[in-house]
Amino acid sequence: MAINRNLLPSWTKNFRIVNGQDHLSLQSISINLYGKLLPGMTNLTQRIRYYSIYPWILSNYVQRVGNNNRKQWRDFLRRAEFLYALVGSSNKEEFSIPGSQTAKEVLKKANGKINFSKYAEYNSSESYWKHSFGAYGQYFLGTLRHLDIIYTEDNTQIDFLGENGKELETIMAHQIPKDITELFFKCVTKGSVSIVELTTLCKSLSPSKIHPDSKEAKKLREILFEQNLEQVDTNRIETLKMILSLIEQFPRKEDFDQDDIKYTILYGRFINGKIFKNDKYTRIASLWRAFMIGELTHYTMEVFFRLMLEKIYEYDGIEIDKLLQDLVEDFYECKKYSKYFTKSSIKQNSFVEFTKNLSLAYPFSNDKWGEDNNSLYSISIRLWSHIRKQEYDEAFFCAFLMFSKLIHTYKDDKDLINLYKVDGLFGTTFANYNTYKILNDETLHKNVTVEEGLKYIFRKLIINRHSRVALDKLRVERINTFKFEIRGTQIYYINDVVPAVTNPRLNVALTFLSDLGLYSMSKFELTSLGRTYL
Amino acid sequence: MISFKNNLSIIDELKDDKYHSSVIFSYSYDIVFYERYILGALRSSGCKNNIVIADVAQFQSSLYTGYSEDSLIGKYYSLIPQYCKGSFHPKIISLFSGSKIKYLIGSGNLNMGGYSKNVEAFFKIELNIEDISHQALGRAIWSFVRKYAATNKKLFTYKQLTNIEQEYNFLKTNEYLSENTNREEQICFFYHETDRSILDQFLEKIKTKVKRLIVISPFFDKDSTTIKLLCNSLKPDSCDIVLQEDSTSINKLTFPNKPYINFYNLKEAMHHSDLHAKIYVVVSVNGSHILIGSSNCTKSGLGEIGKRSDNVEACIYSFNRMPNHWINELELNKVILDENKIKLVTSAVQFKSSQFKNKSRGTNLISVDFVEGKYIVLCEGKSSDNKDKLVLLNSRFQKIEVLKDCEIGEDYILFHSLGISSEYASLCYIERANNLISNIVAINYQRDLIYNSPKPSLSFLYDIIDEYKNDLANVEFADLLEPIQKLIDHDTNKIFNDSINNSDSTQDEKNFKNEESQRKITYQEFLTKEQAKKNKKQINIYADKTDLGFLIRFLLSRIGVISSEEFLSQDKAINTDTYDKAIYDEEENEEDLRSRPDDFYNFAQKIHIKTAKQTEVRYYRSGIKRLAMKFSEYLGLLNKGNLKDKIAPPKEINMVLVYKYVSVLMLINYFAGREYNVNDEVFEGLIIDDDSYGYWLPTLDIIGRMFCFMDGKNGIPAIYDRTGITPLMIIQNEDIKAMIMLTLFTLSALKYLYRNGETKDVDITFIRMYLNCSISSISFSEKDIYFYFAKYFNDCGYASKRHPLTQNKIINIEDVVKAYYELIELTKDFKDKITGIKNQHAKGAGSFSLPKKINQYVYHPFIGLTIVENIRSSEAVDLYCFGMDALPIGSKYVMPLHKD
Repeated sequence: MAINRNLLPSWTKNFRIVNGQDHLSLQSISINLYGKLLPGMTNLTQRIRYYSIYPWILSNYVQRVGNNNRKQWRDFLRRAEFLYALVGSSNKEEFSIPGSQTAKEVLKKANGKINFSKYAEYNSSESYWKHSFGAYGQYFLGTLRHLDIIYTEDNTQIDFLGENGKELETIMAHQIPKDITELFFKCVTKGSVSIVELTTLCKSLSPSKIHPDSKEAKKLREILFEQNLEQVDTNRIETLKMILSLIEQFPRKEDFDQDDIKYTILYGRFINGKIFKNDKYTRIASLWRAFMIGELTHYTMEVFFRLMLEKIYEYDGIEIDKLLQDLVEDFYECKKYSKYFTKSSIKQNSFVEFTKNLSLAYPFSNDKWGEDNNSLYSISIRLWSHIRKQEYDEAFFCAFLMFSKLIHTYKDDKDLINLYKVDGLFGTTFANYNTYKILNDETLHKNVTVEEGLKYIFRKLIINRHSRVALDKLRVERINTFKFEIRGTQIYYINDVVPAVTNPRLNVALTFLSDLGLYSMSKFELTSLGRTYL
Repeated sequence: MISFKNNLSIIDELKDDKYHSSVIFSYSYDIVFYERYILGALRSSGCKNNIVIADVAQFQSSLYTGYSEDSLIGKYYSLIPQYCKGSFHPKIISLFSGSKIKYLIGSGNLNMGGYSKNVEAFFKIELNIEDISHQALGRAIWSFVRKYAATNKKLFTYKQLTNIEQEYNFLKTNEYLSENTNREEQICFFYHETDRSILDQFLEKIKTKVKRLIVISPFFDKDSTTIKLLCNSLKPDSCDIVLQEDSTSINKLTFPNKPYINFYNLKEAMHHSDLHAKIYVVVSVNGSHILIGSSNCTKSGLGEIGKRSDNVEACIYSFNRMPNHWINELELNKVILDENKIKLVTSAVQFKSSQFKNKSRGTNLISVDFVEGKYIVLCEGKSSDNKDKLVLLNSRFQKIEVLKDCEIGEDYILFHSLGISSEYASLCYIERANNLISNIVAINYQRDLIYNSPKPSLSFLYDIIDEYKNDLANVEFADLLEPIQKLIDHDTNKIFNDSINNSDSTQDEKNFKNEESQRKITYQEFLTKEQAKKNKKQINIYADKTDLGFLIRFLLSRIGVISSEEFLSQDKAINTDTYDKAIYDEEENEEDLRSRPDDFYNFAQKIHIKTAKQTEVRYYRSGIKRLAMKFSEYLGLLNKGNLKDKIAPPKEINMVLVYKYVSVLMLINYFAGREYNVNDEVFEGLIIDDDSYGYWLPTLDIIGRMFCFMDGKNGIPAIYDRTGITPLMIIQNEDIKAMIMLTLFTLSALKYLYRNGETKDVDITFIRMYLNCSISSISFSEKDIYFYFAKYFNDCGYASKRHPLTQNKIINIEDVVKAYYELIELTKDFKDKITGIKNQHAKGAGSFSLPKKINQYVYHPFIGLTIVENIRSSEAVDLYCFGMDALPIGSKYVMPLHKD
């Protein structure tokens, strides 16, 4: 019989082991959701002025170079973007500027004249940005396209101005003094700029200083608050307006950040207990609330996962039953942190009673500045900090507390249920269904003992869940994201999980609103212009 | 890091052809890995007949770690735990498609490590089924597979394998494993035979002076017996051992300390990859030998000289004249390098003891099949003690029922279901005097397995249509027809009935044949065995003729509308002259002669029609119509108790079969026509006789029901048909939407046309369909309604036509829409109660009620909300007409909906 290629021995092909993300498939819910709630901005597009600067650069490229050559457009864009980073970084008050890290170093070393072309050059060792089209290509292009500022075609070399982009370009051409424009693009062409020139440029081109009465600001406001046909744009508008309303009602003005927005929306109250009146924005507020529930659930579950992996790491293969028993023993150690965690209260109560009592023993006050260490807010902050500091005992305690609160407070939560019914926003996919299923898990709400409940969490909600998620990734994406391997009844450590907080772009929204003159970041109050949007 | 060129991706191997069956042998078995990864891949590419055989102890441990409520064992695949004195250790993947058989024999277990992480080696064999030597090899492996997959004819797996075997004549052999027939070939399949170990067989092959021996194995004996044996027998000039320093079990103290033996460390080929391959390469004067498979370099793996091991192992041996052939093929030179050379440092690497021992508890439970209310228990070492009980567990290992009454057969025990459990039993074990005396196994639900057993699938049709969607005219019509023909040729009851009919009929068996199975036998007898064979032959003869008339007649004969004799006697079926005037009389007056089948045939013959167009669609329609007429005539006769030989009826009409054919044809209509051309025929079909609305109601009903089937695993509403049409399309699919709308339109039009008459049946069908759609969260906007209704209205030509029944007024689309909303109005009362049904579905709780005129409603996740003819008692409801067993009332699965 002739040997042919159909009869051969072979080694098996293995899939790349990668770290990956979202190992329990719970974070994707948060990510999908905020993408729908704040379209047109990303966590990395922090300064809205870039939305008008890019059309201005593109237009000048067409006028000055006018070559339909992708490479030339790329080099021009990179130089312009880096020069703009230098302009921004030359003013110490400016922040959130793409490329500022390199720019600041360059400025530090500079004396008199800066030859910046080598930093802007694509693929050079000192390059300010890895992506070929810089921050523009990596972060901004998607949102610019969404907002019809830029549009691209697959078979053309350079990008084009969208309808909004054309208007912005015209406005910018009038607004920026001709000599400044000339100076800027002369420097781009030369690849060098002097410190004096930078100071001149900064006066007119500062990334954060858009005059609220300028046509540019007006147009940008129009774009952000423009009602398009798409439902998602309505979400952005409502979210921005809700934030403005929240700022208006916010009781104390210090330390305000996106966490305050998130937690105020979650509780419906401000930190001093005052009710947040959001009658106009109930729809969007309920979506953001569902986001928060999903996000806290996701984070808590990832903490449990991390804790379990820490335990597996201690052994070179451990029986799953022993692992679960070990975790239960660790759980008993939580008595250090709370008088409620006595062995008797754990033994005497069922899982559902025990967690309910806990949830009631640590009520929701939301006093960020008070001494209340037990509010959900404080617990989440503590949880994050313990994980960062690798204090796993305390993290276990906080995570369990958080989990107890979540399953009792948000079981059958109507916002969560409604979330996947919202037409147009998610179609018929069950966007938050995973969170819903975990919080409403039948077994945990049935009469199981605390020990059984805890083992159930680790066995079913972590081990089984991760196995399934990782197997799906293996099948579909051909990557191995397993964090452990099960051989028979033993479980082996492979890799670590870092619980990840989902940043929902609220900070960006705040910066945008401030840049557009709708509220003052320093005084933390709405401007008269901002109030007109309420 | 080493990377090899010719590496084999198991997952790709599973999907490189349209396999219909898979049989996987493995030592350990990871339930989640198999179901989520392997089974998912298999099923997504159409492989529905799947079997896993794993070591019993490994299976037990997997049950405890991976079993969950949504596990698919016994429903989507059957799993047989295997006992043997040692370990059941072979790793074989067998894949079967119509034209191809592929075996992968190697070292990888059915878990994440074995298939995608460890360093494993497989021998891939793609058989050329025309080649005699390939056939011999194929037969050798197959007989091994058969032996261990199913020896007992009562096992459902036995039927599954028989089903596979029937496709390949060369596989059939009466004596499995009596003798390994392919020993003399250049490529052989080795296993431990009674008196000859794998080692014996391997050494026998090597007859000339050995220059080099290469051994790759993760395990060696503690006393290094086997490697010593190999070295002493082969006396190689050099011996290269490839191992992994920190994971290979090897004992330096006992290892032969010879200068010609060198050790090479396979550094991590990849992060966390353990070396698990078992490869033996022998370079001799005349060529190169390789042994690759499951055997470790241990006594239990390779066996001893003249003594087989207690393990069950499987290896492939092959020979090549080129001395470096296998070394090059496996790129062993990348590993056997001076830089990788090591000395055994540790005196004895820790030996990993097997974590699970085969703990026999006295009774070895092999399988438990659930069939028609009975649990057929097959076990080894069973006692004749009829006080043994069968304990049924749910997926959380909680007892849900204990069955006491059993009948003890020759090689099985039979337990009768009490039919009162509130949930499905998933697992079971045997208990004696409150002591567990057997292992735990997962119950095989034959109904589910049959449903998932290999069957022709229309997906091929969709594939063809997809491929040629812009160029349908160039599709061979035969290609379009083939899947349908296969589908019709297929009888889902066959496997099941075979298991009762064909086995030797013992007294015990007769005892558990109840009325229902008797009746099914009678139906089966309708096509006697001889005739059935002839039918099959006929089909084969005509397979390439694409004779639609034949197909339709075959269809009619299968459900008893015409007799088998009539069907078989019509040899002229292959001729173009198939026009039987008597049958088509009712069409004489039709204006459009194109719809006449004879014309279609003549036309088709002349121009060799390549694509199915309106003429075919019409032809199918007229076929269905006649079928429906005959059927309804038959039912009429049945009702009047006036049944004669005029039509040869089966003693029991299998409703599922009728629905199946009608629905299949409707789908053909849709897919072949690619547009909905609802015309007068639809309505004519509805008034076949005075008392009923004809076949459309059951047809629409089944379509309505099809939409309510949930994809149990993902909770996605999908077409989960009981009709044998397999590709599952998510409900968002525009086609499906269009079909639902067609049904709604038809019902609304009916409501409108019969405005003055009694429309109870229409109302009921509509309510049922509406509820089923609502349960599946299907909703339609007003925009949808207008869009589709307008489309169908125009397609029907009603815009310019008079009422087909009364001829006295112009039909108005607004009226049809109005009728739709009237029907919707009827459902208003039910809306609130849908939540009750949903709860019932999800949690087994909740209530629901219907108005008085509609009674005997039952909700079942497979068939949706439905009327049942017979609520037999207060305990059980009869679902035989849907091809299902009687199910206990009040269970999670069946909820009777009482009158208010």
